Amino acid sequence: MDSLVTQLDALPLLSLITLAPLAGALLILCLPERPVRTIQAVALVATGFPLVLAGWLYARMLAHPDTTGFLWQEIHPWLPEFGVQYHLGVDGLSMPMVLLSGIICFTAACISLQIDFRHKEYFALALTAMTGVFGVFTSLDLFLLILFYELASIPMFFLVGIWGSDKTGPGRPIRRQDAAMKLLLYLQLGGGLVLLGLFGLYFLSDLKTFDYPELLRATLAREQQIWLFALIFLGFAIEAGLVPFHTWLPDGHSSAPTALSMLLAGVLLKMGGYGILRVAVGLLPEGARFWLPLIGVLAIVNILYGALCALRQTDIKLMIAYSSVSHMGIVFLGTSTMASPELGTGALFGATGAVFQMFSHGVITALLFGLAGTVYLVTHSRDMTRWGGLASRMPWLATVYVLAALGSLGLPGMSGFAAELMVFLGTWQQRPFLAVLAICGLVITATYLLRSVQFAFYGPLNPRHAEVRDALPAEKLPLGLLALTTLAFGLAPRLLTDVTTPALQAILERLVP
Amino acid sequence: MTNALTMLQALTPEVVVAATAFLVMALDLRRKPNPRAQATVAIFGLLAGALATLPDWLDTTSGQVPVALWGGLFLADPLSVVFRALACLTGVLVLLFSIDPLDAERRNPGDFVTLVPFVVLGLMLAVSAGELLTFFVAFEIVSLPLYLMAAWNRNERASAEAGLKYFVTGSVSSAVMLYGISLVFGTMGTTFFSQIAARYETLTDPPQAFVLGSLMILAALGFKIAAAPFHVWAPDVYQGAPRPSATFLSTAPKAAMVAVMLRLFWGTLALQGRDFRLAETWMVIFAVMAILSMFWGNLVALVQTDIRRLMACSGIAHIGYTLLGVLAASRAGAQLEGAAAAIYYVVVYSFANLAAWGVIVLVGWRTGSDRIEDYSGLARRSPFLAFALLISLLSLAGAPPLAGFLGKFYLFRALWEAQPAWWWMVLIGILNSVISLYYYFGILKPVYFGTPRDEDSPLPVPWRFRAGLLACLAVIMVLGLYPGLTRMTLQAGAAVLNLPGAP
Repeated sequence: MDSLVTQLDALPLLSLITLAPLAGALLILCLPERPVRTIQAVALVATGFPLVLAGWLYARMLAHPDTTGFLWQEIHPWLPEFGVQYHLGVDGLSMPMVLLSGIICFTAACISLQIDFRHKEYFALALTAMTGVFGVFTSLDLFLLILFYELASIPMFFLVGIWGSDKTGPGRPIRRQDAAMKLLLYLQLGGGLVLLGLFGLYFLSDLKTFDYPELLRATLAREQQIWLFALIFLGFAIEAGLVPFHTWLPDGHSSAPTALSMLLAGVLLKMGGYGILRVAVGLLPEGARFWLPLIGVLAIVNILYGALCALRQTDIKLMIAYSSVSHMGIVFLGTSTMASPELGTGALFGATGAVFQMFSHGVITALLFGLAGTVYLVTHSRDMTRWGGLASRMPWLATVYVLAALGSLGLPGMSGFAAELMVFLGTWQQRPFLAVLAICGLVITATYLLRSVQFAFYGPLNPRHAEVRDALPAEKLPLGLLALTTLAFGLAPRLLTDVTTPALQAILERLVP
Repeated sequence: MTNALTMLQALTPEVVVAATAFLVMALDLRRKPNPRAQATVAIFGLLAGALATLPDWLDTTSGQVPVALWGGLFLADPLSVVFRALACLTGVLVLLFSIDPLDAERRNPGDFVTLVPFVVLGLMLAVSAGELLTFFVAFEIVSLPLYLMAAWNRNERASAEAGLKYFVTGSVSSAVMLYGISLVFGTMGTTFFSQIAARYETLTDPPQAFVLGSLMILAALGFKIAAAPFHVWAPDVYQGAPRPSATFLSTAPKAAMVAVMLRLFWGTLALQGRDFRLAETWMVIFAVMAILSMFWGNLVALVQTDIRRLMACSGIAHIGYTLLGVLAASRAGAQLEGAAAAIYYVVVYSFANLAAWGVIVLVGWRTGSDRIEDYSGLARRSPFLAFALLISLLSLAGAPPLAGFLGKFYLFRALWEAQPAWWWMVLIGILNSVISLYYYFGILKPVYFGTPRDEDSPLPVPWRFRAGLLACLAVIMVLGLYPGLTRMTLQAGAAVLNLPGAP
């Protein structure tokens, strides 16, 4: 058995995870338009394989919780003149994100079976974006990271614009083509700012390299760190949905086709959060100590503003999208506690909570979007006030929706609870006032989520939906998988914290003055 | 030592292209000319010309001294090799994209085909010139056929107007350049680049007339590459000229003139040897041109509804980015990176632009329209054309992993390396790239999101277009990730700094 593991370790495991979806996309481009089943099968294999591999690697990391440093590294020279190489590797911070990407990509591919036109283009584009998503989390060369970031964001334009849906009904109408353009411009602006910051790291550190472990040795003056942190943080924060740069998020997420909403909310937002932790906080400790206290305040704005906006929505996808804004605020809040690691365990709690919240929110929001999309398929309306009483017709979907809503509002036993508790505990130790405000946000969250349950699934049955069906087995598999994940990590939070703690401790050690 | 053999080797590409030009012209004089056959001959001739640069390349990069003929009048260094090959390939692609529509519309295709090798010959001589008058003659060999090409559809108002506009402004710019050359000659007593550089080194203060002359040469070159503030002619000419002519206009002369600019300015006219302040001034001038070009090009492109005008604006913006590299090349310590970045960028721009124009020529020929809204549903009508347009525009917009992304990356990196205090110029460059996304994706929006007007109207793609587009796409997609190309441009950049024949 051990020899088998050693043999497998000789393979480029992370490259296999990262490039499998791209290989699937290229294969699909070579396939004929029909039969559709072949294309779908390729897509499922190309996303299922990375999920299995990521799960296996995660389990191995979990079995050795005391390992530090980057595992399964792959280094190949690429552009040596510019200090760029093909360098992959994972540690306790990126591994949960890789696993999350694996889960979301596979479930999104399952939900994508609902797509009913232009299959070939759809799957080719979606799989390309998925390679970008995996690549952001596995790459240890920052040039490679930016490259994968762009690879993940550009196909979104076409996916949202072609297969998305327009918002009509009460309130401001949103055309999907405009939403696609908005999303593209914001994401690219974020990427550009990050690139500028990386140039700063590259030149000011005098190392002339984009290699992350190399850059950890950089010694930068405090003023330089403060400027670079501002640039890199802002770039990633635009992608993570920081108010007031969040406006692409509700439009983009609500206009996207179901599977893409899952991908956008589930992992694309996390690329921003991960980038902040990995690059901004990880490489610029002095800058982080300067800015993080302010970011804590911005996080509160995110939490409250997102929740209040969600409260106003009757369009279910918009409501979930605004709830993402609110929940990403909790990630920011958790990150902000890292400003003072010398004050007890608060910083470690907060940081772990931030990573946990990214994971948990990814799974739960993907589940919510998946459910909303599946119900939309049978009701043809995104306005949840017009759904009404669906629980009697679709008990399975209603049960899972209630489960997801409870997870999202942080019911004990679900992953959302563990994540939020850790963030609030961390914040409380440092700045109790912020923690109180954040907990107020939770009350609003509970309000809008329970209200949506009531509108959509309970109350009198809308007679127009008397004949609707429940979830098909092909829909139950991905949605069930997501629901089980959030339950598993909620009941046993150590599944995640054991993996993340060594990596986060390493970052926090650098932050101690 | 230049013996007859090295001389012959250095001149083979020019000889091949010149022979092709005259052969094609002779074919045109037959009683019943066959323009398609002429085009085939020209294509193979130009390909042979591109291949003939290979021995030069192998020699100069294997550590041998670059060849300088006639005391430095003609230089066969890596810089000229890259751009001579590029000129030949551009000519081939223009021929592939032009012969079908011109032949079908019966617009003197034979004469058009004859002119292309002459333009290529002029471009090849211009990038290898090591002397101002040789350069000027080559510059005119390029310009005259292009004036004709712009006015090719002489019965159409727009084309005639474009030709006239291009001719008048072009002649003025030639005159300005000649006057500038005379001033440089008057003050330095020589027109050889290497000797000017040597004289310059001995002066403590450059004569004012010399600086004025250099400025005039810069203005004339700025006109050819359509850099702001010498860009005003470009949108009208690109829109009015026949599409194949505009394809040629928007790529080949620009690339060659950027090479000349690098050689002429950082090798000769704006040396920083003794008078460092002057080099700073040149940097400021280039920076102003770059910033103006980027903003003008990108902002004006936002409101265009005609794809040819839009591409003209985008071309102006791209020259702005390229000038960032030219600017970076002025600075000691970053000369190599700057020159290499500018060269790489302009090569990549050429291929991406050629692919985009190839699609525009074909769609314009089939539908007779250049309005962006008429591209609606192109992805349904011809998936291949839509894909070609997608890849070329993505590369122009700087999306990875295409060559355009790497190109912008090199430029910004070189600029920061050259002048860290000007990091805000990198920010301007990045902001402009984001602005440009709006209009590039604005084209892709109808192409992919729209539905065709009449449902069953597939657009057939003739094999010539298919071959040309595939070649461009291969360059953009494969070479973008291939490290060998960056090494090539570095060597070409090095050639800017080491002028052979210098005492």
